[in-house]
Amino acid sequence: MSIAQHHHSSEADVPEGLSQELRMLVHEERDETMMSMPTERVMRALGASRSWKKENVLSLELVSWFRPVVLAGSFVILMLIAYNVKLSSTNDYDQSPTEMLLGLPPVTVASAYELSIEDH
Amino acid sequence: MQLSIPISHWLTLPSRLLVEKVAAPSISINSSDEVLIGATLGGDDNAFRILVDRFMDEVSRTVTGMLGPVAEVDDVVQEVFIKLHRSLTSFRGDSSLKTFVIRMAINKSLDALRKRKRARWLQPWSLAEDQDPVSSANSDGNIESVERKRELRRAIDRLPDNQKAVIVLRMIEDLSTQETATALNLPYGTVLSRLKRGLDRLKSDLESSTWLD
Repeated sequence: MSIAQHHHSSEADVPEGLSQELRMLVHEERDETMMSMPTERVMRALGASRSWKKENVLSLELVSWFRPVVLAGSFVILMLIAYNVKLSSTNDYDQSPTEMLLGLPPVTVASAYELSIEDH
Repeated sequence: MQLSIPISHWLTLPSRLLVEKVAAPSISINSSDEVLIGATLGGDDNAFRILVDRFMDEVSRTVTGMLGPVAEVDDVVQEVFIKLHRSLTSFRGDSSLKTFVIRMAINKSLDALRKRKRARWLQPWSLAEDQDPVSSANSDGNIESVERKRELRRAIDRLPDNQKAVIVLRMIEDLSTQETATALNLPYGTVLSRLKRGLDRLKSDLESSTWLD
């Protein structure tokens, strides 16, 4: 064992025998697992990811534009739900909060049959 | 008033620019990391190919150490290099490129381990349990040695992920404690304590004490 190696292994009491075993194990496992010409496959995958990005540049751009719109929309919907719930809890009338908010007359089964036909 | 720069200087500028462009540092396998990064950012794929070649061993060993001999090692290694290509613009050179790459390999491996755990949780009876950590390719080899490797792999796989990362970098990649701390973005003392706990656990898991010094 060289001086440098000795210094290195004694830095934090790393057992050199176990280190050797681990290195050999991982070496063998890597050789069994990795397919041949890994660099070429990485370069091909890089080319594929680039062309995918090029083809989808418009959709990616649209998604990035609409993200704030979706966030703002979700926020507005949540606020309306909260408002609706609050109004429902304090509402003593027959009307629903939406009807009250929009100023619509109450719609019931009875009122549906009370047709007011006016002569003009 | 006399011109400080002669007219001939301006007249020969285009040709000199052309010469300078041609004489730009040529890329070779001996080029420094900085030169290769610069060339890659300039769109030179050959420069990046040299970088991939340079760090392939470190990345593949780190990922295999973390995940074991499984098919996803290949995919994770590819993801590491694709991420490296995208992240080169943000590389400020605070640490060496090797440390930067190894940090990415560890992070991607941890992501893969998390995905594996999630898949196992969703499908407790999945094939993941049936995977043999050490392939049966060594069937004609020494049975005792195959069994020893199998035990060692099981012991590594049983380590918590944060201790496993320290063990892989410190004992397999042979990084110093300081380099390991930089790669994992951890304080020096934390690396030492995780290394100690990991080693204690490995030792207690391994049946035969004759492996250890």
